[in-house]
Amino acid sequence: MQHVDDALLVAYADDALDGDACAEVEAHLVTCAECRARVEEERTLTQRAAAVLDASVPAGEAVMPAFAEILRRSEQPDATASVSARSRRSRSWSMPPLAWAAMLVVGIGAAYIARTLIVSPEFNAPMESRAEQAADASAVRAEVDGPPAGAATEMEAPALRAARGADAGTVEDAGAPEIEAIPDMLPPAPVPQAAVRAPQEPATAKAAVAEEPVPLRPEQAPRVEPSRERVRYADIVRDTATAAVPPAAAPAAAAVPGIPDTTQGLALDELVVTAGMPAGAAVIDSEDVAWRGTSVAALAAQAARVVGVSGAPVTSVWLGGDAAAWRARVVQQVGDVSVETIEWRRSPGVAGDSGRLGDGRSYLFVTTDLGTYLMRAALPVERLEILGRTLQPLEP
Amino acid sequence: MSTDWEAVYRAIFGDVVRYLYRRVWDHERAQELAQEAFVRVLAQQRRADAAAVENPRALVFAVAGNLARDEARTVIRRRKHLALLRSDTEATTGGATPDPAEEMQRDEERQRAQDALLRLGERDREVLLLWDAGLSYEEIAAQTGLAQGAIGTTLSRARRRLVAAYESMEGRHAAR
Repeated sequence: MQHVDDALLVAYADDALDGDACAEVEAHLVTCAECRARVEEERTLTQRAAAVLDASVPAGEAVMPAFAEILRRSEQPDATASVSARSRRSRSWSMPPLAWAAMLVVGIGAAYIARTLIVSPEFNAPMESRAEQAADASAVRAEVDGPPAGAATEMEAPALRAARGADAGTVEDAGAPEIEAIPDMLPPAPVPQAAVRAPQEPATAKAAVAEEPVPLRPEQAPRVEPSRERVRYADIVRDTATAAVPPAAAPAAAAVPGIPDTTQGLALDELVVTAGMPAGAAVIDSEDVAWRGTSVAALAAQAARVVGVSGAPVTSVWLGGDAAAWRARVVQQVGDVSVETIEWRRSPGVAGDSGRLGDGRSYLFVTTDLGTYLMRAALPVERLEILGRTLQPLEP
Repeated sequence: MSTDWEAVYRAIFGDVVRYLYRRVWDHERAQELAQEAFVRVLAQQRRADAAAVENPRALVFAVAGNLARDEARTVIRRRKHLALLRSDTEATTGGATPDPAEEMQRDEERQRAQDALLRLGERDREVLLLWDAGLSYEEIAAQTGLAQGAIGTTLSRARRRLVAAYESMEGRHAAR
């Protein structure tokens, strides 16, 4: 009997044959146990290889920016230009956490000079560009060692703008940013020192922004209507736009009843590191998600999603790493040295740093020693309420 | 553009990121490059005033593959952030971690899988990754320049080697 040759057999096992060829192989398989076994063997092999391939990528879903944003970027004149310039720049800000820690030590005692509120609606703007925004807002910053204005900001500054909603697909002017605040998390009163910074050309915008912060008022924030519809986490991740509330937002007023301020007098055993997790907990580290440029709320949504797919019962979700760091990166001038630190933030008095589960019992917290920005939801994540919308796990 | 690029984007973005991750081994970078790939494809399409693209998915992967190749020339793989983070935080807390074993095991598995993948020949790996990304034999052949008839055997060999490499490392690990 003429057996099916290897190439054909593999193709058959992969369902890659078209009608006629497929029928031929099947006709043979009916009569040939040996080839049937080979097909089975190939499929088993394929499964095992797929398992290895799956294991090679970190857990966590890719964060997909709104298509409108991609479309808009493709309309930029340099859409097909080399990415290498941006790439190099993007790397230049990267440094190991220890370096950041060292900087924090220097910076922690000093008064903060720049407080920047950054609207972070989407995901493709690298964290560094926000850091530069922070840098720009700092009036005392002596030297901006970032890239020359133009090349790098061409893509990224507009990308910082909210790109969802009615304006999707169009290139907006550099006016006021769209802000999507988290209604539940907003402090009750207008925030006096809140500075929402519209991304603009850094060179020209620098002075203006320092002098004329745009106040963040609740009424400016489009309400997110609570929705009864079943919402997919992925959609939230894509659609989420978050405005951070600056630290001036009176921590006392913003404190949520029943939620301990875990950043005060933090006990050592509460300082959970990202290296491990309690049984039943999922840890979402910055390693595992594309946290860069995403909001913490988006991360929380991702965390819940990961929980959903893992299938394991999960009682808590931890968001670790630098997940919250972007919103609080601060540039200070200490003597001759320009120091970048990550601002110590109280939580949950900061919108976006805090969410809550549907039943209201749980809490999230963010604490920091640079390696351990953590955010905790200590309950099963069957429902997760973010941005006033109730989230439920994806269908398995 | 009569091709529904938005649908294509939604359908395959995740696949493109996965594919790119295993080319550049940096999740953030993979996402950036995936976006870049779509941006470029869309820009090309607009410039060419193309009507319908016969195979938009293959086009995106072709561009993504080129980006990854460029990337490999210019960027040296970065040390993983997590490892630094971990040693940092462990030092802070005196290693008081709830259950490091589980996390460590997951990391080790990932590292092993990555190493196994890196042991494959360039062509085997590329074919395997494209297949894993959901491309058809025909599309893989078009992108790699291999004959369509050679895809099956290449794939099979790549799978076999990948599994063998992974398991040999697993064995070494267990023996340790």
